[in-house]
Amino acid sequence: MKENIKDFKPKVIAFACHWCGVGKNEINAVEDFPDFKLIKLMCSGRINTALILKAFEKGADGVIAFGCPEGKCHYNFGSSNAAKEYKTAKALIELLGIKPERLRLELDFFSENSKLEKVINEFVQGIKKVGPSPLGTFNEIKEK
Amino acid sequence: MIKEIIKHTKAYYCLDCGKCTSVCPVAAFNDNFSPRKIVGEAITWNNKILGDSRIWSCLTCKMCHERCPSDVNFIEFIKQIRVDARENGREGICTHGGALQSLMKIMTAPQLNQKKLNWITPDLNTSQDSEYLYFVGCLPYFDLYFSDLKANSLDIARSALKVLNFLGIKPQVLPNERCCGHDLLWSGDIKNFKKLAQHNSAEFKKSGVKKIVVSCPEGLSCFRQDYPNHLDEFDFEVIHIYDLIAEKLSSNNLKLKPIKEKVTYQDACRLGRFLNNYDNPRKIITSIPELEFQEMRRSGKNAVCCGTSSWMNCDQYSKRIQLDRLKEAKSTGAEVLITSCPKCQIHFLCAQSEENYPEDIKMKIIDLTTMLASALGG
Repeated sequence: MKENIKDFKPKVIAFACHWCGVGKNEINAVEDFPDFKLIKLMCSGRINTALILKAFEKGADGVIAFGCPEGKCHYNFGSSNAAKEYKTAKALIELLGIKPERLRLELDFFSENSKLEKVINEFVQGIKKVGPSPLGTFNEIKEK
Repeated sequence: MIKEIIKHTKAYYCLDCGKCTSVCPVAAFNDNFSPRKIVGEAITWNNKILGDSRIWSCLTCKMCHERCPSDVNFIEFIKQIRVDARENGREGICTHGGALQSLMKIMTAPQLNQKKLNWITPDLNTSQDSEYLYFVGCLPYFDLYFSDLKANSLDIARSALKVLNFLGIKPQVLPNERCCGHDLLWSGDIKNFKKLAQHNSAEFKKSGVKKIVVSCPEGLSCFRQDYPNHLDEFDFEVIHIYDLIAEKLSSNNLKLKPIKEKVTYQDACRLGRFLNNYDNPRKIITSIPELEFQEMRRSGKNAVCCGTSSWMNCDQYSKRIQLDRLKEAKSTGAEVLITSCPKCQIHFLCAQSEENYPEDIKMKIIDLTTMLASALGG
């Protein structure tokens, strides 16, 4: 059992906006982390509560979303929409008893790999601390 | 099997009279939808009906079954056909992007430790060993998810506790009860419904309660009618909070505080047509002094559904049903619409929040439990 926790590789769903640098140029940086499943979006405004909850329902250990800073969104109000949906989703998962560390929204420009790696490492470490999702072994993500 | 469903729900007896279609709230606006045609086509073409998108538009409000001269149980028919259709990979259109369905499915996970008791304010009394349980259900989630609509669904839960405390009951409130599964059942997801039902039943047993008090008609109908059918054992007395208070109203001289308002009442389909509880909510409303109560034109058995059920297939027809119903409520001269189901409240508030809708549908919408608690002085 202890070994399991040691070898625990979190399944993380990352929603990435095309314009903030994660979805477009810096994919390699994300792909270096094998446990990441990157879902590219044109804008973080596409992210909604339902998508985040769906990821958890399917057994994700963590969900991270990347977008441009608020006010600098390529489509004007996409990031603020993401921020609003993120707030609702965070409150809902806390009610459900899913640890808030499992969900994160990063609104920033990621032109340098090191910045992105730092954020991702931090996030993964946080999840490793709280362990597998209570739904993890329950609804396995089906590999395509 | 479709043939078995047809036999079981007596769909063979359909006389083709069309009474169902003439009373169906969906058919009133959607020309493509007709219960009579769906039954006819299912009998003629059998499995073809499984791929039909119309089966997901039914509100399961039971109006058709109420009127059917041959007692064809159309909503049971739809319920079972949805189970088969889902097994064939079909699904209704989930509203809100499927967020509420995801919530329900997440709740099927056995290891989940919900943190949903923060709404209980210090003035409300609960206990750990009462034989009564107050089932809160999805209210904390609705309160949060529909905060834009200012639905404040948790007011219902707080009021229910106030009412119970007033009656001298300090109920248990369980942090780990789940959604009752009503919506999953009616959208054909029988597998996940059973998981929720088993979990809830085990939680209730563990807590040692005998009586379950609910304030939501869907939970009530689910516990009373569906849990016993799907579980080996479900030995609990399920009571609606209106029944508890109505009993006290008739036996004691319970003094309620006056509320000066003109009101009308929306029957919930689960409470009315499913469980025949038309009188108790009306008894409560009429016993509040100075409250002017006016029935809508279509009320009681003929009450129209609030337009959407099971968080599924909310479309322009749902909106038109809601608009129509709100206009009807307004035409009674009432200023307040009393609802008995948290979902009716949310649906009507949603219709009112539409920008392009006329101003004349604006009216206060309040749950009866909330109103009752304020009449008790809460």
